[in-house]
Amino acid sequence: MINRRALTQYIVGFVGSVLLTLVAFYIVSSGILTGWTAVFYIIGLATVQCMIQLFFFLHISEDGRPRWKLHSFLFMLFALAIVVAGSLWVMASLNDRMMPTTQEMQEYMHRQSLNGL
Amino acid sequence: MDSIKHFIFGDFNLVDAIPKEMVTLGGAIGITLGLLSILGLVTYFKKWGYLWKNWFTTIDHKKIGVMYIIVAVVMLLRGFADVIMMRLQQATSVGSSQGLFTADTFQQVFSAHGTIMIFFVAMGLMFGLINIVVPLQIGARDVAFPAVNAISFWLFAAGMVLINTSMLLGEFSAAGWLAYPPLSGIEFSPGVGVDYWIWALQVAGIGTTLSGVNFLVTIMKMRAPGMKLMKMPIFTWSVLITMVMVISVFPILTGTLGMLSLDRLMGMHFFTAGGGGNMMMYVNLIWAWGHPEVYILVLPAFGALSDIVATYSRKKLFGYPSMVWALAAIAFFSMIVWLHHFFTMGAGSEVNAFFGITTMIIAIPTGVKIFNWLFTMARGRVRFDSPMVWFIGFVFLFTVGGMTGVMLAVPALDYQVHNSLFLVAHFHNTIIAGVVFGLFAGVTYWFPKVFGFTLHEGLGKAAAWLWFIGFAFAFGPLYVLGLMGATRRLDHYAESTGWQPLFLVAGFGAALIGVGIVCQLLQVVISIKNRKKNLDKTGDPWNGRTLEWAVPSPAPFYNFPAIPNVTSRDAFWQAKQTKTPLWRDSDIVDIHMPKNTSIGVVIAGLAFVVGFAIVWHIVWLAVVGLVAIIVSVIVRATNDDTSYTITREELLAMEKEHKQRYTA
Amino acid sequence: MSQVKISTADNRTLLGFWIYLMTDCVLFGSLFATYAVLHQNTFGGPSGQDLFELPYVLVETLLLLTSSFTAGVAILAAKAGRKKQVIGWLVATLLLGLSFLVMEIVEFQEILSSGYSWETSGFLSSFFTLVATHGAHITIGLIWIGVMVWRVWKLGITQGNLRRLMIFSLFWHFLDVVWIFIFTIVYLMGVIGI
Repeated sequence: MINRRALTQYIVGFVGSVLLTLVAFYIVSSGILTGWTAVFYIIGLATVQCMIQLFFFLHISEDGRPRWKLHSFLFMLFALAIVVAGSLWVMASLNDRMMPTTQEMQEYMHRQSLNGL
Repeated sequence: MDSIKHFIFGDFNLVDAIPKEMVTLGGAIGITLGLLSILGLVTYFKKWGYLWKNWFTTIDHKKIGVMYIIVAVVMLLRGFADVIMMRLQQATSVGSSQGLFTADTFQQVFSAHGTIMIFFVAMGLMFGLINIVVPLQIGARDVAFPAVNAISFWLFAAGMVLINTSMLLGEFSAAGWLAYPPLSGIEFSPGVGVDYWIWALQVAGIGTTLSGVNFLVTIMKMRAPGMKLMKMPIFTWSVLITMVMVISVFPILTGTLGMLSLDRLMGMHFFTAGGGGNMMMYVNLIWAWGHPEVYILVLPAFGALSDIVATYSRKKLFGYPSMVWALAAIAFFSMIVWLHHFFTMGAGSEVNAFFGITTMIIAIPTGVKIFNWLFTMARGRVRFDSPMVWFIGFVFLFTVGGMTGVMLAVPALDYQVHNSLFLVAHFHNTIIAGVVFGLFAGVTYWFPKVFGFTLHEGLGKAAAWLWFIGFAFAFGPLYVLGLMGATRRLDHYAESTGWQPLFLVAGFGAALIGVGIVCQLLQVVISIKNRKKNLDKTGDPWNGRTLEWAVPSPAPFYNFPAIPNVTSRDAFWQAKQTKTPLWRDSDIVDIHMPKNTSIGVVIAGLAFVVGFAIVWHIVWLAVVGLVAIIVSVIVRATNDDTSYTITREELLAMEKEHKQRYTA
Repeated sequence: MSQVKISTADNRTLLGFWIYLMTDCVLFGSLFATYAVLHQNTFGGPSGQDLFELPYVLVETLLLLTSSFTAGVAILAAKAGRKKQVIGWLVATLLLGLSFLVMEIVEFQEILSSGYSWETSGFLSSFFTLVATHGAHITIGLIWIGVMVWRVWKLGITQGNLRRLMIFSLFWHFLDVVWIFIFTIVYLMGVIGI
C-alpha cells in the first residue's frame, strides 16, 4: 500500500507550491505592487515555497542523528549567503566608484550649482 | 577539402602546434623522450598487466594515495624546472642583457610555475596524504565511495596530462596562474594556452569536488564505533573541515572557469571589456574560491603536524579542543577575506576596512595553533627526527609568513607593496613553509605505513635543513626587493636599480632548495635499496597514538580485520597503556570489499579527450566524448555487482601471515 | 508485493548525493551572483522587460512543479512495491520534464530568431548560461528517468533500484527548487525591471 500520510505530504506540498507560484505571478503581472515592494514580496514567497519543497518533497527533517542532511544544507546556505551577498556588496562598491559618464557628471555639477557651489 | 579537414581536426594543425621557441621545444622533446622511455621500459619488462590490475584499476585508498603523491612529485620537478628558469632570467636580464628568455616565454614560465605548484603539487600531496591516512585513522576499511575516489584521482591525473600537453602541442597560458581577464580573454590571448589552462583546471577541479563529497561522507559516517567527533585524531579533524571548505568553494571555481571559457568559445560577455561584461566580477569570484583554497591546502598540513608533534613529543596534544576550534575559526574567516587580494581594485574604504580586519583576525586562531604546538613540545621528551626538523622550519618560516600577511592586510600598506615581490615572498612563506613543509613531514611520518619500511633519516634531515636555509636565502631578498619597488613577474630591469645582487642571492637560495630536492630523491632511492635494514616490523615505528599504527606495516588491503572499538582520543596509545586490544579474533567476521574497476581510467581518459577537443574546437570529438562519459556513468551506475566477500577464515589466515612475517 | 528496505550503505549513498547537491547549489549560486551583477548591462540590447513573457514561463513553471510531484509519488509507489504504478508515474514525470525542456528551447529559439543571442550583452550571456545550466541538469535527469524506467521494467523494484530512484527524486526535486529562484529572480524580477 502507498503510505497515505506520505502521499498527503506530497499533495500538500504540491498544492502549496502551485498557490505560491500563482500569487507571485499575479503580483507581478497585475502590477498591484511595483518596484522593490514587489521584489520583497515575491522573494518572500519564493523562500516560503523553497521551504515547503524542502520539507514536503526533499524531506530535509527526516534524517538520522546526527542530522547531517540538515546541517550540510544550513552550512551551504551560509556559505552561499557569504559569497552572493559579499560579491554583490563588493561589486556595488566597485561600480559606485567607477568614473561617471559625462551626462552623470553634468547632472552632478548642475545639482551642485543649484546648491550654490 | 579544407572544410572537411576543419571538421575533422578543428583548429588543430600539428605543424603549427609544435612549439617554435628553442627552450620550449627542448622541454617538449625531453618530456616526450622521457615518456617514451618509460612506456618502453614498462613494455620491455611486461609490466602492463601488473600496472593495470594492481594500480590503474585499484580502488584501494592507500594505493590511490601513493599515485597522487607520485604525480605530485613528478610535477614538483616540473614546477622546479620553471623556478630555475625564472631565477636565471631575473639574475641575468639586467640593463643591456636581455636574459635567456623572451618576455613571452617568461610569462608562460611563471604561469606554469604557479598553476602546476598549486593545482598539481600541493593539491596532489595533500590528497595523497589524506587518502592514505584518513580511513586508517578512523578505523574504516575504505572511503565511502571507493570508485568515486578512483575517478577523482584519475581526473586529477587527466588534468595534469592536459596542462602538460599544452607545452607539447600549442603553448602554455601566458596569463598568470589565475588568468585575469581581459588579458585571458580571446582578444588578448587568442592562442590555445588559456583554453588548456581552463580545461585542465576544470577537469582536476571536478575531481577535487568529488573527493570533497567522498571524504566528508567517509568521516561523517564511517568512524569506528565510539569515535565521537571530539575523539577524532586532529589530522582527521583538519580533513573534515578542509572538505567542508572544498565543497563550499570548488563549485565557484567550476562556475567561474566555465564562464571564462564561454567568453572565449562562444563570444559571451561575462568578463570582457566591451559588450556589457564586467572583468572585476571574475577577480571577485576567482578569489572567493582562491582564498579559501590556500587554507584548504594548509589546514591538512596543520593537522599532520599536530599528530607529528604529539607523537614525537610523546605527549598528548596540548589543548585539543582549542585546536579544533582554531581550525574551524580559520576556515570560517578564510571565507570572508577574499577581497584582500584586490584592495587596489578600487572598492570603497568601508569594504577594504572590513576585509582588512577579517584578514588580521585570522592571525589569532593561527597563533593559538602555533602556541599549542609549542606547549605540546614543552616538557616532552622530544625526538628530533626529520619530521620534527620540517616542523621547526615550519614554525619559524610560517610565522614570518603570517606576520607579513598581517602587514599586507592593512589596505594602506597593501597599496604600496601590491603586486610586488614582497607579496611573492609572503605567499611562498605560507605555502612552502606551511603547506609543503607540513606535507613533507607527513609523508616521512606515514611512509612506513604504506611501504613497510622507514625513510633514510640522515638524508631526510639534510633535505629539511637545505629547504629551510635555502628558503631563507631565496625569499629573504625578495622581501627587500619588493620594498625597493621590484614588481612580480618582472622579466627585465635597469642596472641602476641595483637589484641584481639580491636576485643573485635569491638564485643561490633556489639552488640550495634544489640540492634539498636531490637529497629527497636520493633518500627514496637509498631507502628502497636498504629497505631490509629499515623494515618496520611492529607496525608502530614512532610509538604512535592513533589507530593507523595499530595495523601492520604495510597496512593490509582490508586495513582492519575487525572494526576497532574506540573509547578515547588517542585510541591506540590508550590501548597500549592499558594493554587492552582494540579488537579480538572473535570480533572478526566476513567482510565485503569493493571490486577493482576501470571506471576511473575510462572517465578520466574521456575527460581528457573532451578537454583536448574543446581546446582545439573539434566539435564532433567533444560531443562523442561527452556522450561516451554519460554512457560509462550509466553502465557503472547500473552495475549491482561491485563488491566481493572475504570470509572470516581467509581474514584469520591473512592476519596470521602478517604476524609470522613480523617474527621472521 | 513485499516492501523493500534500504541499507546503511544505501543511506551513505543518499547522504553523499545530498552533499553533491549542496555543491551544485553553490555552482548555481555563483551563476546567480553573476546574473545579479550583469543583469542591467544590456549594452543597447533588449532587457528582461522586453523579452520575457510571463504567462509562457508560468506554464513552464507549473509543468516542472507537477513533474516534481509525480516523481515524489513514483517513490511512494516504489516503497510500496507497486511496479506498474512506478513506471506510470515515472513516464508521467518524463513527459512533463520533456515538455518543460521543449518550451525552454522554443523560448531560446524565439530570442535567437529576433536577432539577439548570448553575444548581444552581458545580461543575455548570464541569462542564457544560468537558464541553460538548469536545462542541462534537466536533460541529465530525463536520461536518468529513461534508464530507471527500463531498469524497473526489467528487474522490478529491487533494493538497488529503490536506492537509485530515491537518489533520482532528490535530484529532480532539487532542480525544481532551483527553478523557483530562476522564475522569481530572472523572470519575475526581470519583468518588474529591477
